[in-house]
Amino acid sequence: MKPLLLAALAAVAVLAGAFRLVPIQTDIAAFLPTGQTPAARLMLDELRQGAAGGVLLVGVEGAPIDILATITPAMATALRATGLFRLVAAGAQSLPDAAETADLFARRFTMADVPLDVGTLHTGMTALLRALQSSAAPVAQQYGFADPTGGFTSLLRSWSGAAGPVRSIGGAWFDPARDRALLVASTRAGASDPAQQAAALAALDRAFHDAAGNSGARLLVSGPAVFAAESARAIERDVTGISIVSAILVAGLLAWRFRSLLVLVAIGTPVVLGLAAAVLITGAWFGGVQAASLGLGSAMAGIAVDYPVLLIGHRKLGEPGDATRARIGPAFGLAVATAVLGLGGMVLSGLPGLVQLGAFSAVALAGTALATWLVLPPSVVAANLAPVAAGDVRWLPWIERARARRFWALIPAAAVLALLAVRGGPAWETDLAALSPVPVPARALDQELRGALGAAEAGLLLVVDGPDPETVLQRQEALGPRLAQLQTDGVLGRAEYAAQFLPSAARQRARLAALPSPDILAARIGAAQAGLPFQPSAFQPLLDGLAASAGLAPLTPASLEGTALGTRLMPMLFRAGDMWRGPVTFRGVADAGALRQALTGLDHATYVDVRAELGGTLAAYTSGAWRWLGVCAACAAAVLAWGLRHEPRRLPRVLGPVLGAVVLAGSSLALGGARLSLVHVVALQLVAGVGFDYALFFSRPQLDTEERARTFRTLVTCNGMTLLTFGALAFCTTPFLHDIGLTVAVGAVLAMAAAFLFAGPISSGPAPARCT
Amino acid sequence: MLRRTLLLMLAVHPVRAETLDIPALMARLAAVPERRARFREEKRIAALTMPLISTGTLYYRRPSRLEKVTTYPERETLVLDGNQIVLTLGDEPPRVIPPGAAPGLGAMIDAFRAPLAGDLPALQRAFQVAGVGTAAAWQLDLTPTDPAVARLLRHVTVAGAEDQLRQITVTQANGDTQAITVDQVLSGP
Repeated sequence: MKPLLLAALAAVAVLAGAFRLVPIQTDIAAFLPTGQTPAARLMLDELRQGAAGGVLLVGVEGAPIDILATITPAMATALRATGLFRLVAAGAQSLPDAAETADLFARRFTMADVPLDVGTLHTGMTALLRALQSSAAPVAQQYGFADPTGGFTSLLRSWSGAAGPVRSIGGAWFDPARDRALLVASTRAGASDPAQQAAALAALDRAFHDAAGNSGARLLVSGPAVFAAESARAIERDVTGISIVSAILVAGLLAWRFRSLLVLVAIGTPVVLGLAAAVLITGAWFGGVQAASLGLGSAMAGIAVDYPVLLIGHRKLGEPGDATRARIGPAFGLAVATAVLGLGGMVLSGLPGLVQLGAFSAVALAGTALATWLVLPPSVVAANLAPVAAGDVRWLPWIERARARRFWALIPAAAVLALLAVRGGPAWETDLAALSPVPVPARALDQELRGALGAAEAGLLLVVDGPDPETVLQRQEALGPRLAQLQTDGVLGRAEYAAQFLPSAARQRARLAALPSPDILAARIGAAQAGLPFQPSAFQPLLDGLAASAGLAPLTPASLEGTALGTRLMPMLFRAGDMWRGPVTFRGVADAGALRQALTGLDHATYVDVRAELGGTLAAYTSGAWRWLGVCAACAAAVLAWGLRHEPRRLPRVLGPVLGAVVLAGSSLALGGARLSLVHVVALQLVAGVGFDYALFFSRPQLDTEERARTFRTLVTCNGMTLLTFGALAFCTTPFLHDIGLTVAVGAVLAMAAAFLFAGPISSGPAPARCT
Repeated sequence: MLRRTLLLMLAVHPVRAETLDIPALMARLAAVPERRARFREEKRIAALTMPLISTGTLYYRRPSRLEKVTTYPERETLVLDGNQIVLTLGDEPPRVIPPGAAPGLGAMIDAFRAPLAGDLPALQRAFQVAGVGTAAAWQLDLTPTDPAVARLLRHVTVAGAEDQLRQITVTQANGDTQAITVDQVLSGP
């Protein structure tokens, strides 16, 4: 008994030490794939750390509209005061301030295209007269005489307009589809500074509580910072939950099966050692262990526990350790090898997060098996542990008789496959977001807020690059006529890009040089106002403005830094590495094919179809997963063929039921409405790895009823533990943990049933009719 | 009939300079739940050589809805309801204007609507209020208290007889004026 307890204590100490040495990580970046084409890489760079990294999208709902309309502006004021944000916008209050407006107004001749010929002036003056007559007179009077052609008004409108389809109520932005006030904020710190991001989120929370009081309003926040925090929290919660639940379930099942605390300790020891090895080795390999790996690792313990259970479960009372090892050795070795190969798909998937999940689990399995083989027999023998004697085994033939009618089981299986075929086969996941560790409700909220605010997530982009902002602006201006032509042709509704808001310095200087002299403009004004009831001096402000603009230096992105206009420009023109990028976004695209054709192959401009790129990236990973599934399946088959070289007739009895169970599990999930993805593929591979375990043991040449009963009981226990732990994993909110859990739980049950029915021999035992 | 006579008297006799019981006047104004009238608006702008004339109908319903429908020379609808302003020019889509969109806009709305609502506190929020005349022929002089508003709006006078409004004159800081005269009270809703 003593060596067992010592071994158990040592194992726990090693695991505790491993956790002290290896940091636990919860960042989501590891789970984002890297792109395989330049366009996809560009997109994913943006996702990881681009200018959008610090954006927070905020909704406030659940109170009367007029109250909501006061909350977001109050929050905006409070948030601006914190200094943590580059930009806070909640509605009309987010206009450029008076000084900025005045500065922009002074540059109206160079910032906007303002024709100053007699005809345009006359048309503008006529419109001004009508505006003065209307209720909009105060606005018309403010700018009309200094800017009769309206260049500045349209400039101001384009600068201050919200990008999306927001509606404005009492000056606050609202979602067009629901009573939800909106606010968008951009933190000074990028997504790579979690401490500052957390401070910004806390400030947001405080501002909301101060502004909302007890109005009953609810705060909804989305954005990369929230995703990071939320998915980290979700994974932590999942991992804590799953490890506690798995431990209790497994311990409970084992205690019920073996009715001995010592057996529990004996079984736990190698599992704990395996986990410790996994923590240490993955920690050394990846520089830390993802919390998600621990989550899957906890569920994997439900499989790893099979090994000590198989060993103890098959031990006869009083038998020396080597005797048990010799009896189950071949099947044991093959079961471990195939289970570890079952994780090959994950390890080779190429997605950093999944690679680690797979590596962690594989090391945990192999470690547990090794510890079981080396440590367990001596200590078990010392404690003289064995399952309760096989006892009454009369129930076994009765159960085994089911094998006589095993081909009936093919009917429901065939029905599932037929039904799936009728429905047009399984639905495949094409949205890369399915691999994201961000919980689904958080993603749905983000979609809603983005849709309402029109935040940049258009499906199509043309990214213009250059060595400096001025070059990017000039290249965009050169593209202007082409884009305008596409608009005229009805290919797209509108293109939006930085140069529309801020002309290049070269263009501003060119416009300045082309302005008429004061004398010429005065003469044109005189001619234009003929027949209109304006005083001769009415348009003096226009002449004054022309004179004032002569000495103004061009506006540049650098000179706009820190202003509301600069902030507006930021997502449209930004530094990426040693390049500058200016994305052109499109609205109302009617003919994506024509757009692609017109904009592909340009110099210094990359056309990106976000959905196609991300879908393509996912497809590449998924096809990679299939390839590795094939390779690993071939390896497993080879290992099995070698292991069973002396009894080749067992090979089809092992392979057949498992492959059948894997296909059936995938089909059942697809029929149940799951969109199959890379995650399902790698999880099915794990199902195969576990299933071989069952099939190998059932197909062993079985000596007597007692040994068969031992195998049956032991395998039911193993299967029960896998079902319980992966079933618990299916309750996780982290999408890929949920998918893996559900797939393995369903697959394990099917594999167990198939292995029992088809891997075992049709009962030749004590069925009296045949015994004679 | 009585009303017509009073209006006629008002047109003939100028408002006498004596202090007016403003709260009592406000209470009388507040007692009218709904009003409908034709109006004539005259804008005098320094930069123009002639005044701009427009006509249409005004409709008011307690507590806070005011519609100004201009029919000549261009069709235009201005609706103030609660805190919301919706302006429709000709065939253009309606524009929702936030109260903060232009300085002094809130004060202008109060100057128009608060006398109709008999809402003295609303008037006093934005203006220093003085009253002259009698209940039969009264005039309120409103001077903005907020310097930011005063930079645009010099003062507003609201004249009326009994519980009816007669004329609102807005004088801007630059001397331009806008006078809305209620020509004819229409009966019925």
